[in-house]
Parts: sequence; C-alpha cells; structure tokens
Amino acid sequence: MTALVEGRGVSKHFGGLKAVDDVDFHLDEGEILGLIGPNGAGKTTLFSVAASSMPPTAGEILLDGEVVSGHPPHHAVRKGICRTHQIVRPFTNLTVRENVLVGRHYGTKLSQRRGHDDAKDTDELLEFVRLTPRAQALPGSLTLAGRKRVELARALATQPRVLLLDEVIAGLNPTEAQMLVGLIREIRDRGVSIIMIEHVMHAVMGVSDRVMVLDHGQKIAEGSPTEVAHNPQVIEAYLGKDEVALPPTEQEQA
Amino acid sequence: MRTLRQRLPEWLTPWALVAFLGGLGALYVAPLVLGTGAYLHNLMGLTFMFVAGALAWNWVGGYVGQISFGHAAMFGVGGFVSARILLATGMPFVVGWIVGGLVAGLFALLWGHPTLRLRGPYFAIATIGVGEATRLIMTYWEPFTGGASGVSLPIQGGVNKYSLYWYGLYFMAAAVAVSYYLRKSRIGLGLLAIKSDVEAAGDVGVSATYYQDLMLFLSGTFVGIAGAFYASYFSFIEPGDMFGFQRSISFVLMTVIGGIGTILGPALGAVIFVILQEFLIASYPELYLGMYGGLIILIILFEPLGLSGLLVRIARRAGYRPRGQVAGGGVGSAAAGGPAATSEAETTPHMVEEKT
Amino acid sequence: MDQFLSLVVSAVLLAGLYAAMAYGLGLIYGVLRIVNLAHGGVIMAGAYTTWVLFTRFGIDPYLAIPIVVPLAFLFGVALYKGLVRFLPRGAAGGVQSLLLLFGVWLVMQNVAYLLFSGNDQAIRTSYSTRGLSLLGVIIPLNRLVVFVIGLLTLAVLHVLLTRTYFGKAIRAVAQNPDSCTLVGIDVERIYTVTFALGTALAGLAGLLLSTLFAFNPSAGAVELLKSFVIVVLGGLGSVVGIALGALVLATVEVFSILVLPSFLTSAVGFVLLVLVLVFRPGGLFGQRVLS
Repeated sequence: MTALVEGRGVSKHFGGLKAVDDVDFHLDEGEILGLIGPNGAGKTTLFSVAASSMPPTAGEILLDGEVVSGHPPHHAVRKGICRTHQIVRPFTNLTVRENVLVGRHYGTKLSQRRGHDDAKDTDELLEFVRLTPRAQALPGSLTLAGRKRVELARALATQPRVLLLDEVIAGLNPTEAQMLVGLIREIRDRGVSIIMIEHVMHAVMGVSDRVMVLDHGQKIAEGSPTEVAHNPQVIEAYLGKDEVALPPTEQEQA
Repeated sequence: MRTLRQRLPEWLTPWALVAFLGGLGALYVAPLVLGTGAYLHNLMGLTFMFVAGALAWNWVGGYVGQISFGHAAMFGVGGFVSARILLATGMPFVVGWIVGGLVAGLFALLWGHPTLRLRGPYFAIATIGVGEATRLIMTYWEPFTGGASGVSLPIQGGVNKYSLYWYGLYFMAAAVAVSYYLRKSRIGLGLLAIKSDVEAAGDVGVSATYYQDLMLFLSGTFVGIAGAFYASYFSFIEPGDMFGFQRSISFVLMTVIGGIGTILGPALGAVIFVILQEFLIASYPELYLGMYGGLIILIILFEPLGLSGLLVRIARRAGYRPRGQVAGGGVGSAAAGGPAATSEAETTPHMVEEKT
Repeated sequence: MDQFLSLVVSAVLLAGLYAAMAYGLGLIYGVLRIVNLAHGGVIMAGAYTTWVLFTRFGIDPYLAIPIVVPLAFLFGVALYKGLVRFLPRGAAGGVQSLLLLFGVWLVMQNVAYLLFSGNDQAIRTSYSTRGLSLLGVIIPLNRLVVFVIGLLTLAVLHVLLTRTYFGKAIRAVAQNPDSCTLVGIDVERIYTVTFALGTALAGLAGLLLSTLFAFNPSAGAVELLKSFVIVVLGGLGSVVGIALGALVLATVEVFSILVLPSFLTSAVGFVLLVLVLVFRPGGLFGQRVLS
C-alpha cells in the first residue's frame, strides 16, 4: 500500500547552506508522525517544502502518488495538504470567524463544498477549537493559545487530508497543551493524517504513532517513540558528544 | 423583508440594495425634475465618469494595496482604441467603449502581472515608468494617436452630450456595484487576507497572483471605459493629455483625498476633484498644483483615511455606531476598511502595508 | 570606429551625471526606506537656484556649488523635521511617505511656476560651447567638468560612508535602527542628516544638470525615474553599485540613439527598469527589491 504522503530525496539548499539534505519520508493514512530534532535541524524547512511554500532544490513530494511539490502553495492546499506556522500568522485584519472562512472559501475545491453550508461548517470548526465565544474578536486580542487555535481552525477549514502542524504546543501552559493534544487526537480520528513538529517532548512522544528525527538537514532516525528516544545518535544530536555518558571501553576498564 | 433577505445573495444586504436603487433612481430623474442647466447637467455626467474611474483605480490602489501612478496609460488606451473603432466602423458608441475598455484591461494585465510581484514603493515607481513610457511611445505612434494633433471624433451616432449624463450614471452604477461586490463577497475576504499576510494567505489556498491579476484587469477595463467616455464627451483627444502624468495623478488625488479603500471615498474625492478643477482652477489656475499638493500633505499628516475617514470620525463623535457583521459568509466587519470601523479594531488606514 | 569611441565617451560622461543624480535617492531609500518622490523637485530647485545665482549675481554655476549644496542640505533638514519625521517607519510608512513627498513635489512645482515662468531656461556661460579634444574625440567642456565633479562626489561619499563616524552610523542605521539606539546612536539625528544629505546630492545634481540641459518647472520626473532605474540596477549596497548602475543606463541610452529617435531615449530607461524588475529583481548586482 502506498503511503499517503511520500517525500523522495528531498533537499533544500539556500546558497551554500543545506537546510534539508536528501531526506526520504512517508506518512501513512491515519498516522500521526512526529518530526523532531535540535534547533536548526531543518524541520520547518522540510515542512515548507512539503506544503509547497517553497520548491525543493531536489527531490519531490507526492500526495497519493501525485507530485505536489514545485507548485504554488495554494495548489497544495487544494490537493489536501495544509500547514500551520511556527510563528503564528493569523490574518490580523480579519475576525477569528473570518480567518476560518478564508480557509473554507479558498482552501477547498468547489466540488468539496457543494451541498455544504459554509457558515454552519465554520461555526462547527470554531466550536471544535473552543473559540465560539471569541468568533468576532480580532486575533490581536487573543492570547497565544487562542491565536494558535485560530490557525488550527483555519487550516482545518481547508478540509485537508494531511495537516502539517509546526510547533502548535510550544509556548502553551500545561492545561492548554493538554487540550491541544486532545484536539490533535480528535483531528486524526476524523480522518486527517498529521505530521507534527514539536519540541515539547512528552506531547509529541505521547501522541505520535511514529517519530522521525532530523539533524543538520539529514534524517538520523525513524521509528516508534520509544525506539527513537533510546537511539544514541538522537541523544547525541540533542545533548552533544561530550555530554553522552558512554560506557567505558574494555581497555579503560582493564 | 425576510423573504427578500433570503432571496438575495449573502453579500448583498437589503439596506445596501435599497440605498443603491434609491440613489440611482434619484440621480436618474434629477435632471428632469430639477431642470438643471446644460452646464451643470454635462458636468455631472463627467463627474459620474470620474467617480467610476476613481473607484476602479481603488481596486488596485486600495483593495490590493498597490499605488499606481500610471493609470493614465489605460485611460489613454481605452480612449484611443474606442475613438479609432468608432471612426472606422459605425458601431454604437457603447460597443466602442467596451472594446476600448477591454483592450485597456488586457494592457494593464500585460505590464501589471509581472510588476505586481514588486512591493510597495517599487511597484509605484514602476507604474510611473510604465505611464511615461506609454505616453512617449503613443505620442510617437502618430497613425494611431495622431501625435500632437490628436484624434477628433465627429459628433455622430447617438452620442449627444445630453444623453451622456445617463450613460455616465450607468457606468458609475456599474463601478459602485462591482466595488461593493468585490468588498463584501468572498473575494473581498481573500483580498483582505492577501493584504494582511500574502504568504499565509497562499498557505491557506488564496492565490495572490490570480486575484491581483483580476483586480488589475477590472481596474484597467473600467479606467479604459472612462477614457472612452472622455473621448466621446469632448469629441477630441490627444496623447499628451490622455496619457499624461497629470492624468495619472488625478486618479491618485481623487482617491487619496476622498479615502483609499472605501467606496464613499473615491466618490467624494472625484466630486471634490471636479469642483476644484472647474471653479478654483478657473479662478486661480496658477495655484492648482500647489493646492493638490497641499491637500495631499494635509491628508497624509492628519487624516490618512481621507475625507470619508474624517466624516466617519465626526459621525462617531455624534453617536453613530456602525453595524456589525453581515450574517453568513459576507465580509461585514470593520476590517474591510473605511467608514465602518469597529471600536475594537485599530483604525489602520488601508494605505498602510500590512505585509512584511 | 570614431563614432563608436565618441559614443563610449558620451556614455561614460553621462554616467557621471547620472550617478550624481542617483546617490541622493539611493541614500535616502537605503537608510530611511523612503522613496523620495520629491527628489525630482529638489533637482529642479537646484537647477533654478543655480540659474538665479548665475543670471542675477553672475556667479559661475560650478563655483556656486558651495552655495547650492548647503542650501539643499538645509532644505532637506527642514523637510525632514517639518514633515517626514511624522511618518511611521518601515513598511507602514511606505505608501504614506510616497504620497506625502509626492505632495511636496507638486507644491515645489507650483512655486517654481509662480516664481519663474513655465518656459525653458538654460545657462550659457562663456565656455558653454567649448570643447576639448581627447582621444580623437571632441568632448564638450561642460560634460567633462560634470563628469569630474560626479567622480569626486563618488569618492567623497565613499570616504564619508566608510571612514567617518557619521558614515558608519548611517550604515549601521540602514541595517538595524533598533540596535543602534542600544549603542547610543541618535537615530533620529542620523535620519535627519541622511535625508538632508540626500537632498543636498539632489541639489548638486540639479546644478550639474542646469549646465548641460534646458529645464522648466516640470523637470525632474524623468530624472527621478532614471535615478530609480539606476538604484534598482545597481542595488543598494554601495555608492559604487550606484555608479555602475549609472554606467549601464547611460550606455544603454547612448547606444539606443543608433536605433531609436532621440525622443524615445527616455522610454528606454523605463522599459529597462521594468525588465530588470521583472527578470532580475535582485538588481544586476543582487540586492533585494522584492520582499
């Protein structure tokens, strides 16, 4: 069975800098894939390529076997991949509800919307992310948690098959974080496959089915959360070589 | 009233429809009822054209947020294409106008599509370049524009100046309707999203290129029709005037003075512009550049939302609270810019670039 | 071959003038991120001031530099302190500053129409028609002097920006105004000085132009546009970039006379501008013009 999303040999170079270097990955239908790695590993860049925010320098991204990379971003959205941003970017001149409406109007193909009431669906989404009381507010008047939920609802409004979440949990207090994790599970249960970048370890390890680790633009590990957590290369990437307590070698022991 | 609201498309409120039809009707019968003299009658017809032109300029200047100093290029193209067609064939003048407009619209698309990638001041200056280059080339292209001697249109085929009033009125009505639709419909929502954050908009499915091109084409077409109207009105056009920098400036002036980004604004601005042209310039012709310049300076420093913004401020002081959201999918909120600013929103002038 | 050489010489000489014309615009945009639409107006004012000094007081135009340039500088200070500093900085200020300075330009034009007529004026000195013979080509004396002055300006600016405190402060502010306040640079003062320096350069350009061409109150639009073409071509990186951009434009213009009527020479610049913006948005030397 082919994966829902497939990245083949994806590279993204900025001049001399190899932000993403020949990465292969896949996402199966109904999966939550965690994407972790130290700062500067290239995670957001990989997202940007996957969502068509920028074209890859090499390689391609396929959705359901169809190439989506190399097209303008709105093309990918119509096909069913939508992303949120690491630094939240709601439309500041539109109300919360209008933000979601934009996703609804523009992120979906007409055929997907036929027979649906846009207003009703938008209200449902607002209810889902618990933003109904703030529907008429401007994003500027919301907390960070609120604004993240606006972006989330807006992305969901595009009726994606694949949702790319870029650090949605970072910066939230434990209660908010827990709520968001719950939402993410619910989103997956509704049939949306998810790739999430996250630094909040317990969150991403707790909710992901599989985890992929990037460091310096390259994939260094992939597997279940437990496997990855115990992978020495991963530990080294996060903590640095000197910090890793290696067991003494035979010579030293003797 | 409830049945009516259900029957109307979601972006059109009954109030707006009533106001529109009422205004249209009033202006329609005004000359017959009020018995205005020929001078005022004709002037009003011309004013309607300027209102339409200013509104059309605003689709790029206000709705997309890119100031164009080169709209005279479309004005001139529309005028000359229409004039040539009417001279060469016996077509009814409205057809000539529309053809002239469409050619102008395509021309706008031609130079505008690549240049709209530029941000802010770079686009503005590029438009100065386009306007001036067009003027030079058109002046040189004598077979088409008649060079310095221009093109004369014999008064024929149903274009009597008296009836131009009503044709101008329909033209203006069309521009107002299109402006309203663009702002209130989902297209308006998309445009605002683009203005707020063009990249994030793309990430949610809004193609900035497509909508910018659309606005450019519409703007160019309507301004082209304005040029064609102008040609029929004066029965004589020449490239220096039609394509001139003064002509481009006038569009900017009307809209900035009246209020960028709104519907009332360009309309107000156009009316004031015509008044200034006719009366003040007749009395003090040597001061009109300075007056316009001074007016722009004052507006930018003290009331960037233009006169319509000033009016709204006064109205708010007097207790007028703007209506809230339009139900359903329409863009009802203040953020649409212009008069109906809610108290929550900072009144960010639409001239302010919100893109980073 | 003779014709070719003479064209090359023309282009180089013209480039000197064009570069002098463009520095002011480039400097103001590079540091304040404001497109000075009054740039053309100041050039025009510089030309007229020179003309007045020449016809009223008999001062030779090149000797009037110590008068015209400081005057233009003071005008810039007044303009900044009186109007420009009230504009919001950054992207938000972009459109508003554009329109504000445009309004200033209109007023300046009107003032010029009132003070002088709309007729063309020109400056004819005793040596206006003299020429030098160099490399077998006859070079009008005026053009040579203008070129030399343009070159000197380039040198002075370069030294100013790289060797003096003010120059370094200006470049720092151009890169990161917020950090500058942290290190004790009075950013507002730098803005004022830079803006005034920009207008001073425009005034100088006007002076130089007045010795070569006729002018009237509506002069300046073409110069503004050409300055902009040069700034875009050469990028904002350095004065040298602007000089190179000026060379490119001057060369294209001069050689286009071979194929186009002189009437359309200006159009060449505009078309070049649009083409460069579309195909090489980074300028010919890689500066960012697109966001």
